[in-house]
Amino acid sequence: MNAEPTTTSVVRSEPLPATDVLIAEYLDRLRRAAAGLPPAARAELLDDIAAHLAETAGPGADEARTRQVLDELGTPEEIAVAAAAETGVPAGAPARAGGELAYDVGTVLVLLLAGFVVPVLGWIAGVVMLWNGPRWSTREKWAGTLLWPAAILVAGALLLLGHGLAGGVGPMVILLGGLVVLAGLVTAFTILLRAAARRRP
Amino acid sequence: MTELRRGTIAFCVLALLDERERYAVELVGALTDSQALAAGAGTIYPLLSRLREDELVVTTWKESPAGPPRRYYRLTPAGRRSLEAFRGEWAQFRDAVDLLLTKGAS
Repeated sequence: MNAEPTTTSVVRSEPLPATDVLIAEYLDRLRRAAAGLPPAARAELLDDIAAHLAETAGPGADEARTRQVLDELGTPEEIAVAAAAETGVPAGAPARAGGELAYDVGTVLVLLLAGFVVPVLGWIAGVVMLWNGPRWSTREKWAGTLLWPAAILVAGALLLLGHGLAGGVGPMVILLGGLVVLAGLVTAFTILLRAAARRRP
Repeated sequence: MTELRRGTIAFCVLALLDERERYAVELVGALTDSQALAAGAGTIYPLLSRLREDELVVTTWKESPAGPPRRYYRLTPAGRRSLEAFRGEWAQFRDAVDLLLTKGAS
């Protein structure tokens, strides 16, 4: 705007520098307005808007056209606000969704494995987490709570049965039964994870 | 009102993609022409990102006859289901609101 045309020899068919400056300024404003977004969302937004500008105000667009395109896009601040609303859906900060996933997976892992690290107490911690979890129904909570006791009961019964049986049949029964109990546990905990995943925002 | 519009525009995008795949500038053009988009056209991009994250649309890059490659948006089966559900709900909601509004006016 303050740059006067110095010589007529610079007048060419190339895009006027003024349009490049307009676009660069716009993208710079957007970069600053979107500073609060998660880095990946921000990068994608900037890429998308830059691609839009390359498509609609690419080489050959004059200053009037470029201004019109920028005007139609809306202000960088307006776009950043819309982006913040989208990344925050449906409630609160984007970090929360990750927190919810971590809680659900953490609960199931503690419930499944903590008993091996700290016997009984580890399992109780998992049960407490399960009952505090907002994404399981009461039925699922009871099922999750009774899983290990049921598995231990079944395993115990199998052991007794296996010892009672004659010859080489006993160990086979114990081994097969153990595998069935293990598969049951894994299935049940997978179901718990899926149930929670369905209810995560 | 902006919330209502934003939520509704997402389904307008899905409806446009139900016809055929389109690239973003095309989508923006169609929405602007229909006057459905009250906000700046740039606000469509965060919306498109979200639809992609929610796996209601998928994108592919294609060369354009002139200029840089374009990202095309296409409806997924989940997107189509979501659109169908909205079509039903919207018709009910619109009729209910119309009824209440005309009652209020008379």
